[in-house]
Amino acid sequence: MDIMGWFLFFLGMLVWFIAFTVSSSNIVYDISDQGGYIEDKSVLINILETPATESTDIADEIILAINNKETKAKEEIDKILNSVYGRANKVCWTLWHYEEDSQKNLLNVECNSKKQILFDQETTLPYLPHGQPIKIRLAILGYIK
Amino acid sequence: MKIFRNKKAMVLILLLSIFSLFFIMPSLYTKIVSNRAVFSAKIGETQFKILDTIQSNQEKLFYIDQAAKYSSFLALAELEEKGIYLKEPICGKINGYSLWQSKEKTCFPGKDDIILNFQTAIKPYLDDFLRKNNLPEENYEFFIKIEDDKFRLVGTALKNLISDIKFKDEIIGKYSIKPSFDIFINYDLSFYDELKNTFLGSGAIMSEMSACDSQRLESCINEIFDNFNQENRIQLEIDCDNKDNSDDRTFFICATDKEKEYLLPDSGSGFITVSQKVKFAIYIVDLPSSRIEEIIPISPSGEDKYLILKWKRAKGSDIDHFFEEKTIYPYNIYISDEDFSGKTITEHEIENTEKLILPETITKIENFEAESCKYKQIGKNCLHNLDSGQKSLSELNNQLICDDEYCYYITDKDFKSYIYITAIDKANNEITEAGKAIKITKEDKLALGKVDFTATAQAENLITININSIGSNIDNSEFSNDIQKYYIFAADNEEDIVQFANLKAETDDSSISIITSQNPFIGIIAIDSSGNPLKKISATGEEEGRLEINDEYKDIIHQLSNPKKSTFP
Repeated sequence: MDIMGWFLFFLGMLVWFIAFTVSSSNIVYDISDQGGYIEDKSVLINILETPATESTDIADEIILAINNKETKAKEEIDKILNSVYGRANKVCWTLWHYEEDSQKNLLNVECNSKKQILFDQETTLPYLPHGQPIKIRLAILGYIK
Repeated sequence: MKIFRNKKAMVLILLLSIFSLFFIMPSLYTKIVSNRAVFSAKIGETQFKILDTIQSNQEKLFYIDQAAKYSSFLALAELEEKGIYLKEPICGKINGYSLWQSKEKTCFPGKDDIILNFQTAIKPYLDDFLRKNNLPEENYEFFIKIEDDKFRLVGTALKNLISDIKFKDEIIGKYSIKPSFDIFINYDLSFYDELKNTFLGSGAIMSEMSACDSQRLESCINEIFDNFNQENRIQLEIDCDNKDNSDDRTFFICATDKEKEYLLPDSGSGFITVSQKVKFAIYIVDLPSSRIEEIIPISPSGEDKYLILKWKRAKGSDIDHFFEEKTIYPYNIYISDEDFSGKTITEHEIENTEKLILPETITKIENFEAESCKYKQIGKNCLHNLDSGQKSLSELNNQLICDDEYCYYITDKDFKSYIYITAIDKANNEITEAGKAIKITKEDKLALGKVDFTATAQAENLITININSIGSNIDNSEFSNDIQKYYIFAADNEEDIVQFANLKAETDDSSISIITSQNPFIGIIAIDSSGNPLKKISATGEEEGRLEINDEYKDIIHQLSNPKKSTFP
């Protein structure tokens, strides 16, 4: 009878193995919580659409700045960025434009503190008649302290 | 334990143990472990990509809005340069300028013309911007709405903008959006209405320019523009592009609204601020003088039998009233028995009329006054300035006399009933429609002359009056048989007669008896059909029959009453 006991024990395990193999699902997933964020890129567009003078918006003023003309772009951008992001301290920021894949500093407010990117977006503007569209980038690099 | 004592059984158990340990258990473990899996991406990462795609399309929509704005200004600048019309307007083009006024037609653009041409002009500019950002070209239908003269441009996309939603280099979907736009353009279209009104509206300068002397047309137009520019926001100049005029009467004009500016994209400097400035050409039509006003016939009958026509002098520098060596004919007088008011003047002719061309000679006079010729017989001159000068009416017969305001034509011709006068300019232009023809009434409206009568006392208080005749009108001219009645005055003294205070009778008979005081003074005034020189006035609150002397006879009526003392036979 002992031998039969052992035999039945191993036979049971074999049945259990076969049953498990047949009935178990194929995949087991592990789910863990992870954070992600979406940046609203329309902020830059909203800034660019903001009227700067009676006949220009900030996008127009940036084009004037690219052409080294008198422009209100710097003060208008500074005003908007500080009204949104600057609370206790004023923000420092930089506006670049791309020329043949190189990024050129166009307008900026210098930072004195440790840099902390609060905002960084790019977009493309129609440029001049017979000219190529121009890509610009605006980033808030931190606070002025 | 029997089993341990059985060797065969022990071998079986050993084999089963080994099988279990090395095969079943690892297989089971492997099976369990190998069924565990992980996601190839984080949950929501795909959705993030969808949102990214949507946001990048928002950038494209912004690009399209900006491109549409810049294209609009570039298109408007092109329209300004070409005088709004891209294709040749019905008035034609000249040196690339649209003619807004040709010899026969007027083509000042209205809002519809501007919108139509704008819709064509904007397309290549917008397509150029779209092409450079890999956006679909020829993708818009344009609608322009004018709201309070603000220019609103709506571009309705024909094709959707379709973007791939990519995740790890794999297209997992497509995002489709209609890239229509709706923007306001800072351009004032009312400028063109004002311009049209400036040239063609009431008090318009086109008529001023048309009246310029052909010999000095350019300087005349410059003077008109200078005067206009001093008082107006819109500035006009000729030959602003230094283009020579194609002919003597076609001028290239720039009209600038100095208070309306817009930002024009410019390759050299980004933008330039430009004023709304349109270039066009106009043919200065040599318009005829406007209708002659205030045509008045003076003294249609009288001792001298001269008809004096008075009218307001035609304005316009190309209607020459005074000349020395050359012969000019500034006026036509149309004459007819029938009323021809409003008839068409074709080649200086009006149907069923005769024509008199003036002047036969022109005299310029200063401070000329033509009032009446009625009182010559009694010492008051008609046309007194002339008569008191060196010339009489007979000397001025068939002459045109003009001062700075009026012209007079003096004639002894036998005019028919209706007349109308037109002015002819140097280019022989005349208006095309007759105004109201003036009726010349040859009725005798002059007061009658002195009444010749006898007054015979039949008894103490009865006096018989016999009126003999009236020879002529007050000015000795023959009168029509228009005696209506006689007013008979009787008073004890002559002074009361000439005051017309004691009206005793009124009659249309030449013989009448009146009862009066003894041997009074009698005076008789003949009244004609026009109620000259005395009228009976009925006024409320006053006794009916108050006599009032017509103004023009007040100075002379005492001479007409001819008082006589009645006599006994």
